[in-house]
Amino acid sequence: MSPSPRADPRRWIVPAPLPTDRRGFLRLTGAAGLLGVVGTAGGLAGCSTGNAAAGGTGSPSATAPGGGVHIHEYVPGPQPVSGGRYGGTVNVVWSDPPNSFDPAVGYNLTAWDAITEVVFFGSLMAYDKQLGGPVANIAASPPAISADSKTLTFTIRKGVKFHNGREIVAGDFIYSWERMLAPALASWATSYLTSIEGANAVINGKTKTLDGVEAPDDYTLVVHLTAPDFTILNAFALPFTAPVPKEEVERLGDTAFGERPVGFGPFRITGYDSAGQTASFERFDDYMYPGLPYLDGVSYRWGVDPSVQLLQLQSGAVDLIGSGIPSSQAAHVLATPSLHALTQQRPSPGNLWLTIYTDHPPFNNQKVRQALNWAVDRAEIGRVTYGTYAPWGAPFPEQIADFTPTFKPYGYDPAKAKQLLAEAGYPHGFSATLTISSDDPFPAIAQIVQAQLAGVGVRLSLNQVSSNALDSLEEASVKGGGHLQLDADNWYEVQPTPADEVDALYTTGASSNYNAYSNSDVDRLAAQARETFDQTARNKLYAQIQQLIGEDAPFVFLESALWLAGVSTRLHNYQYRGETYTYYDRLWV
Amino acid sequence: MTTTTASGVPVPGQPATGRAKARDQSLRKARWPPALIAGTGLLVVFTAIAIAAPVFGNPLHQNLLSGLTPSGLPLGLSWAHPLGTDALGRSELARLAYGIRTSMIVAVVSNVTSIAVGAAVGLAAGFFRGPVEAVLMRITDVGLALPYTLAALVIAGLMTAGLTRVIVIITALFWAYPARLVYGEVLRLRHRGFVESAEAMGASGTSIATRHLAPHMFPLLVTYSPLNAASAVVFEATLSYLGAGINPPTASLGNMISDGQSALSYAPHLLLVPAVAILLITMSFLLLGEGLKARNPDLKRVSWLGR
Repeated sequence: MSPSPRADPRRWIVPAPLPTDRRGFLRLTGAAGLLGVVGTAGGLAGCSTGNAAAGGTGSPSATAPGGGVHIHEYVPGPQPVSGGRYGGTVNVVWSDPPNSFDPAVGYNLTAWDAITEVVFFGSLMAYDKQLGGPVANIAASPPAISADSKTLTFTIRKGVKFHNGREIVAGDFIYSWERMLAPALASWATSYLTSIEGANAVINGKTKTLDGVEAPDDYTLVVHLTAPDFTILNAFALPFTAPVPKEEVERLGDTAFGERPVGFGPFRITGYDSAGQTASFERFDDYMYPGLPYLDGVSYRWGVDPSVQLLQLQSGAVDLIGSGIPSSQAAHVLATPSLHALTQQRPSPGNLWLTIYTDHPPFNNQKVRQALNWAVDRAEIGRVTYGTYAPWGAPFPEQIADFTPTFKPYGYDPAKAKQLLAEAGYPHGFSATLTISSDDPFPAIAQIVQAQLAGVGVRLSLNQVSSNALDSLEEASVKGGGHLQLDADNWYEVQPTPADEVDALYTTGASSNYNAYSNSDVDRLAAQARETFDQTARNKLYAQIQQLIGEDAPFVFLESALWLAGVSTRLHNYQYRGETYTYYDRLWV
Repeated sequence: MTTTTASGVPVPGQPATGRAKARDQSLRKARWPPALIAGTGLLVVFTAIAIAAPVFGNPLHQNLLSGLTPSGLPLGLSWAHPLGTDALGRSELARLAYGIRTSMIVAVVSNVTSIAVGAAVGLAAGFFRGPVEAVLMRITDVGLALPYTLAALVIAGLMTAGLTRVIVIITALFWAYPARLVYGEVLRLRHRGFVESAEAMGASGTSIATRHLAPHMFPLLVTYSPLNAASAVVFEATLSYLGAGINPPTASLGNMISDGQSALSYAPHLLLVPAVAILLITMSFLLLGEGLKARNPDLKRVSWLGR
């Protein structure tokens, strides 16, 4: 399975022996051990021919004689890549419209891509490379942290400019965070900042001033926390803490700012057409990382059916499938040698599961929940999600940057499931409704689970609704409505730590804890872990939490996510990470 | 008061005129027009498939191991699986048979219910006139003005999924047209001799409406019902395709199209098989309707189809 030669006439970049195509990158990164997990994830990395060039991750590229450029491997970090070529536009295709390009509000895939990597880029911090933790971005260096770990002092880098030309100063962060926390904006992400002093008062609308943040001068920002919180630096790498220019927000208003935001990322937005379902972005010459980006522009088109997206990628009409190769096409793509060149498999910290609403019988019984976990055959489910999810019967994704799973995943054991059901008082099973969205791959998974649970006497009826309707039902369930018993959902982590899931899903009253799961031990350990800066000690706590959640089984843990990128062969230096997607500033064509 | 009417509707007790004789001949000639033969033949086939669906296998049996290729793709056509398998390794032939069964049930049941409701409304409005007419026909106007898909999705949101939901939705949206048809026909016959004679003899309103007027609606409705059934089949598929009709895993042609759509580039038969089935079922109903129309010269004259 050697890579087929590219027909692209612009194949000027590398002499033959060094791998520069997508699969070459994969091989190298696999060889470097950084993404060793890819090997277990699918067939691609298994093709490795040992063709790896010398040099570890992060080594500089070398220029070869004769004008050709050797790319030793993908170049991490936001510094210019020698060998990149300027010019060109990349077309990205999406299924869904962005919910908002306002960094404090956007959360769906289309929006997240634009606000993490296109119009905006990180915040004070930014994630490093494809798996690393937060590093300084708009901050000139990592913050000075006080002895009690409760005060963080950031020095703001000079000369970082908004797209309107104004320099970013410390006051912009205070304005942006107060705006984000205010109830009027109804941001989904307020819970990430609750450890900042006074944040809860702003969230509850008691005041508009965030007491715990001060700006002694334009280039110094001091953040006071109520308790030590190691996740706060992750929050400062995510778009909802990105600075927005007050003058532009006030000029445009919140709604218009969500369509044509003024950011500071590698590209500024030049067009947004909700009827035409397109947005266009143009190179920002004053981007904070000099020399980047390579591309002249990026264009988005959304509202395109997933199977059509693949055809467009094959024909060259698009360069990138924004949300990756969909499950329904993944097996086809992976089974067709001619399509291999258009894809790359990446680990992606995420899960897919059935949510068990734990507040009503029979699901308030732990044994019933465990029985469901033993009754599903994940290998069969893996057949229909081949390439995009891998079987995984445990809490937390299989692959997280700073955590190694310790909980022994659930397997397939229908006899044990029947026994547990009998112990729980349901020897003949019961009936329940499984609510699913009509989005791929949920209907297929639901039908398989339905057939499998029938084998232990649990009779599921399926209720298929739109994904928006499912979101509303989930949110209503917190207020006692919705009447959900089981639903199917997935979660993509935006922090490279289990804290992301634990603090959002598993602690009592957490922002996305829709299924009323509550375990005081989990709450206590989670709070303790958040204050623990030592990774080894922290991971011991997360291991305990994983064990508790695994035994409580508030979900039927089904699969861990992979990422099957859809990337055209003309695109170079494609780098993806699960939390923030593609690094557009380093792409070239 | 005349005994023959300008429209030539037969008057009881009158000998057949020259025109009526000619009509009898054309009736004999047109007894089995080709359209009627084709339509009936196809419908017999589809009805047989619907009744014998279990013969073709279990539409819900998943075979995720040997029912898919090693890389997880649906199987193509083979002796073991004449129409291949779908994404879950289920026999596409069995699903097709059950999908046809679903469509036929929807076609027959929702056809009967929607026409019954519509005929009752039209008859009442046309016969009783006055405030009854005003109220019923304004409601009918509203029914005719509803955007079908949107209204269907709203009703779907109020009910739990299943065959009943589809039949209720189709009845709720499809009754207005036959109501308007019957209403017009009743207005036309309202002052005919036989109605007025019945009234003069002291027959009650209800008895006139049901015994004298209703039988005259049958030719009209018999011709209309195949068209109605065809629309119902397509609409059921639309609803299921949109996820507002019959829920998986139940086989329905709309569900099958929805599932098959994403496989178009590597297993086109998953989309084409149910699509062709819908086409043929719809066509068979239309041919039947066309054949019935050709067979009955009376209906030709009172036709509401663009004459």
